Amino acid sequence: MDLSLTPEQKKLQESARDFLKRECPWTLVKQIDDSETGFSSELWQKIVSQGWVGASIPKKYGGTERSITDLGILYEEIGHALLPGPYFSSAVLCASIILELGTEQQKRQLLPALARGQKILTLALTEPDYGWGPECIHLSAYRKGRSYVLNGTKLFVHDAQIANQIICVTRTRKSNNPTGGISLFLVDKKTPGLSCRSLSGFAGEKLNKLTFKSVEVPESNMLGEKDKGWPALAKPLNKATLLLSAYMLGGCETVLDMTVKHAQTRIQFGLPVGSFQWVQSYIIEQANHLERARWFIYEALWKLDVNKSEKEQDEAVSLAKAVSSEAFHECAHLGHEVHAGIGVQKGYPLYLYSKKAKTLYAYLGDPAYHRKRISQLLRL
Amino acid sequence: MDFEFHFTKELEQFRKEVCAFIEENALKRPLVPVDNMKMTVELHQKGRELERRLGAKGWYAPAYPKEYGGGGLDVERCVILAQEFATIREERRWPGATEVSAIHTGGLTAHGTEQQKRRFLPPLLRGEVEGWQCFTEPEAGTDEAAMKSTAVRDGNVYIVNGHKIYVGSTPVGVRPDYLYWPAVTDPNAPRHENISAFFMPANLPGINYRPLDLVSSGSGLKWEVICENARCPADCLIGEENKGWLVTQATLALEHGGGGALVPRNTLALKIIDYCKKTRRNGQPISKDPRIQDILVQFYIEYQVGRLWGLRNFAMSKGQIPRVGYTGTQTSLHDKLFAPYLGKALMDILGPYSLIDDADLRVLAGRVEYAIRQADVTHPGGTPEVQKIMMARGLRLGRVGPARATKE
Repeated sequence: MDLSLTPEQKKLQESARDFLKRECPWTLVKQIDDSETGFSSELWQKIVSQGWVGASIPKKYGGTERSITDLGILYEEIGHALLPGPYFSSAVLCASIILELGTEQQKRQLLPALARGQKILTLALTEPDYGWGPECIHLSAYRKGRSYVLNGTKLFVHDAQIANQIICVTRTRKSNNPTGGISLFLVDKKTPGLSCRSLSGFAGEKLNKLTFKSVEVPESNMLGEKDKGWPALAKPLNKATLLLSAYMLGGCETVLDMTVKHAQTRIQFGLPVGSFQWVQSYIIEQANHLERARWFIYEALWKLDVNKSEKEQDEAVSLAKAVSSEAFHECAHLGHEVHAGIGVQKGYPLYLYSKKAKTLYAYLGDPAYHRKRISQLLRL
Repeated sequence: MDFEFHFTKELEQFRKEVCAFIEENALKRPLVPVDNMKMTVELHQKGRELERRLGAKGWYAPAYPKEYGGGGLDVERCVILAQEFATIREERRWPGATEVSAIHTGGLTAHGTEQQKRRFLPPLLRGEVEGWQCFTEPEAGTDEAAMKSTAVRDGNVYIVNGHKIYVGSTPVGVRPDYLYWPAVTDPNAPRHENISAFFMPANLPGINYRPLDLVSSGSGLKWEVICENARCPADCLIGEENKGWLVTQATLALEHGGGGALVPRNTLALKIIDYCKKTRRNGQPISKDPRIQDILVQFYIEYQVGRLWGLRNFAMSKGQIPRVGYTGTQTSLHDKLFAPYLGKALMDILGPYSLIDDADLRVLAGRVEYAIRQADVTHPGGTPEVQKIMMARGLRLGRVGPARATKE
């Protein structure tokens, strides 16, 4: 039992922190957030050259193949800085799906370009009947010659506005058991019939509506076996959900630091507001949320790296996400309680974190979804 | 990072040795009451005997140095001892303590002179003596520094006067061997610089004991102790005169979870989950109700938080990860807030079954009824409010108001 980081992990943590401090100040995050695409190709290139985009891709496909714990440490730093960009969708989620489901040819075709940042991919799973379970997949794909034709809608898709290609979760066969009959397709965004619209609102990511009207996709673009896509998604989703949790943990840390500094320097009634117990109680709650999330995440990273049983990994990931969804949201909200008026000015960084927290709360499963999964794993 | 303890063949052999010792010495039946306030004299004395036997093997204080009577054992062996003793205690077959209390050793090891350590540590570490921590007074609970008990030097003794309350743990008819008793030794010195700590013999003339009648305590029967001109030998001082505040604070830091936990606590949460899966009500297992499922998931989460923070604090105490100032009290606060949460949730799940101690109807051998009473007992070792104040300090949030107690 040793919870220390290796010297290499400490180096990764420090260098990521320094790099992001320099290259990703919150003012840049705001600028990108305010922009139409929510994407800066300049920043993207800088991140690619750090090797971070290829970090979860094996060396033989052009990546730097880091362990899951290493990635967790990296994503915690990325979350600290609230680095904007499709790292998560492309470099983690879609890369993992291709690794798990792709043929050798598909891997060679897609992964090196992904690692070099030349291809940007995103996953389209959720639909108007919103949810992360297989019973929520209705977008249909029927066979037509050597192609499949896709019809339906995907809703609240992250990063679709900048992705070149979409991994689309479709229903190729109706089934009594909703986990059967699901297939994944790689769809070029420029395919006729596919339209993408970013939704306005108060969200920390661009959320997109994708409409599929008779979108034809060659059968060679199917990822994995027909009708067997859902079980194969389990591992990639676990990994991605956990790294997302690590990102949210990083966000919590920045919010806590920001709130403590404010409480120490904001003077009212002749005293720093952090002297008052009501204010202290908010910050104590932040610290509790943060430390709860942290240790579920770290233990889950370890469990995935040492390949604990599937059941144990599922439980660890769901615990991490359920707790960190609450933690990030609560930390941000409590930060607002302490900051009062100052916190809701867009000239101050806090709102970027609270907006992000609200958006990631449900992404890859909200607390209710993951708590349900835990109760199933506990066989209640 | 590695969240597991790894045990070699040699260590598993040690575990076999520990299990054999436990089986040889433990009670054959689960006789230890769930509520330690209901401990009998007979079981208490049996427990003392077991503590002595553990101490003789160096297992009562396994991590402490051999030269003071400890076991000098490595971390892995300490973990094995902690794990096996936790199991036998869950089975209610081990009446005594299974480890020396850091409450009594903490102040001594941090601030005692070498002479004091050599005198007081060995009997403690060998399980030969039992002491009561006597910090709280009727007018000095959370504000411990406001204590009124006095100790006046007179030749080779200190004359001790004072009234302590909510102290102790033994059944009626059993006295401790000594009282860990702080008192004011310099009434003119400023707050925090006026107190000395003593390991006072418990049987001195002038010391009177009265048991308290409490709803629950969490640590056995509680007492009040009144000292009237008790003559405490001067060499019972721990640390230096007027530096007793440091001694007591070192104790409280350990009481507040700073050292970490190698074995998970709050295992009642897991037992409840199991009980709800196995018990039917209104035509189905209790755990099938979706409302109750969500409560049980929360129990599971809180149990895991306690376990993970125990490991975290242990890792910090071993220097594996950087120390964070508020994490000891954070753990203590979590434990304290878990109790009222659990009590309420048990009523939500079990209704009036949760209130019953009747031999036929009680749940989990009375553990639930005990938990209901314990739900309102968050004060021992410092109230949740105190934990929050200390967490705020650990977060460097400053304070407002006078540092010294004001007398009204």
